[in-house]
Amino acid sequence: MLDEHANWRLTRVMRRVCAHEKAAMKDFYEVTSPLVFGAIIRLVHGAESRAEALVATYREAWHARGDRAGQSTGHVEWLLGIAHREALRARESDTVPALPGRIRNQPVADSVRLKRSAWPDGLKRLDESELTLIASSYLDGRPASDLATQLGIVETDIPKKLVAVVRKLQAARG
Amino acid sequence: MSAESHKLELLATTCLTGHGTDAQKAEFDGLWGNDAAFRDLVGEIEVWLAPLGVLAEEVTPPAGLFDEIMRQIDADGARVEPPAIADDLNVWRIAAIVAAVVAVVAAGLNFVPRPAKAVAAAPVITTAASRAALEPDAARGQVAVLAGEDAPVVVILHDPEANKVRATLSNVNLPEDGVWQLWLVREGTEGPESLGVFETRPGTVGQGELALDHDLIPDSDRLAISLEPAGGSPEAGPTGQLIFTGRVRGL
Repeated sequence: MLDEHANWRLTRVMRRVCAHEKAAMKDFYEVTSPLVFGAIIRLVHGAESRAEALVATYREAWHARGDRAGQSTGHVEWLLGIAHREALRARESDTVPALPGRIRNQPVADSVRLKRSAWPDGLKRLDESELTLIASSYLDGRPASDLATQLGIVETDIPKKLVAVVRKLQAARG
Repeated sequence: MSAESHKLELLATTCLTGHGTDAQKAEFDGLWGNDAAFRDLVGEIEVWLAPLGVLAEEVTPPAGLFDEIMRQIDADGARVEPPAIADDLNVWRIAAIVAAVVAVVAAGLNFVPRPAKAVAAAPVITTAASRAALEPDAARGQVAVLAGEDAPVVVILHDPEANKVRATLSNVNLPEDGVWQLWLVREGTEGPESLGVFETRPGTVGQGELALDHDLIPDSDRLAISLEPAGGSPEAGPTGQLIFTGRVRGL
């Protein structure tokens, strides 16, 4: 996620965006787009669909900016939520299929594992199978059948297990 | 948690994590479009899931996409009014508030409408004939309805003849531990421009006033109010929360 300085900068930029200042969108984009695009490319694999999801994310953010007026935190979460929804939409028309081998190794990359101490509390509380389940589903869009095989669980149990994981993340946020 | 709310939570989580069937996705989209409580639930779940973002590495997008974003936003703006906080509120309620405030202000100014004008709001702010002859558009009054979260609304009336902007408050009071600063947000400018700090209008309750030596462009300019320390923002732009925003309309 963003470091302290980037968060401070984002808060100031969001004030300008919420004041309907189009010029502020450039700063907003510069601060957040690597994070947003990083999330999108995990879910969407065609270059055109990735670009489509990114453009749609910022377009939607501009039109929904009124939701953020008067709020000083949570901008990144809000934007990533939009990005995730747009990525799921773009994936519907994505003509480039995911490469199963690549995705299977990707849920929690080694380089990210090393930063575990910097993870939010909610993620630290998840055990390995819960982390694999939620990250592989949410970030990578792996099919339920694939996950069920890997985790040794029944496919129809996956939605209930995901709800339980989401509740753990909720509890960690207080 | 009721069975119904559990079902909705399951549906939202299933779809947000990419496991929704076509039927579930259709149900999700239907609820998203028609059920504000469901949208709130989805928003909450997205916030809970957001920490997963640390697992995705940052990647710089290809060049040129920002220009495409702005091109599409500009194209949207040419087709429809951009949504803002004010647009989310009930239009009829705002219209009623404007009408009520206009009536109150008209009564306060002892104004008697000209019989020939059928539109009650139009003559509320009288104009100097000489100025009208020179700048007919600029001489008309302007109004902006600035809406905040929940119900608070501020109706801004600009009287170009008196160079005054008057704010009439609904469900909110001027702050005791700071000041309200008015900002002009104009397309094509660098950033919000300060129009001054509201002071309580003498002899009134729930009204603020500031002198304004600035023409406003109806249907284009937006006004915003931020909460600032006494004396106003120490910087060129707002430093405090933007608590109200709204578009300028001509009267």
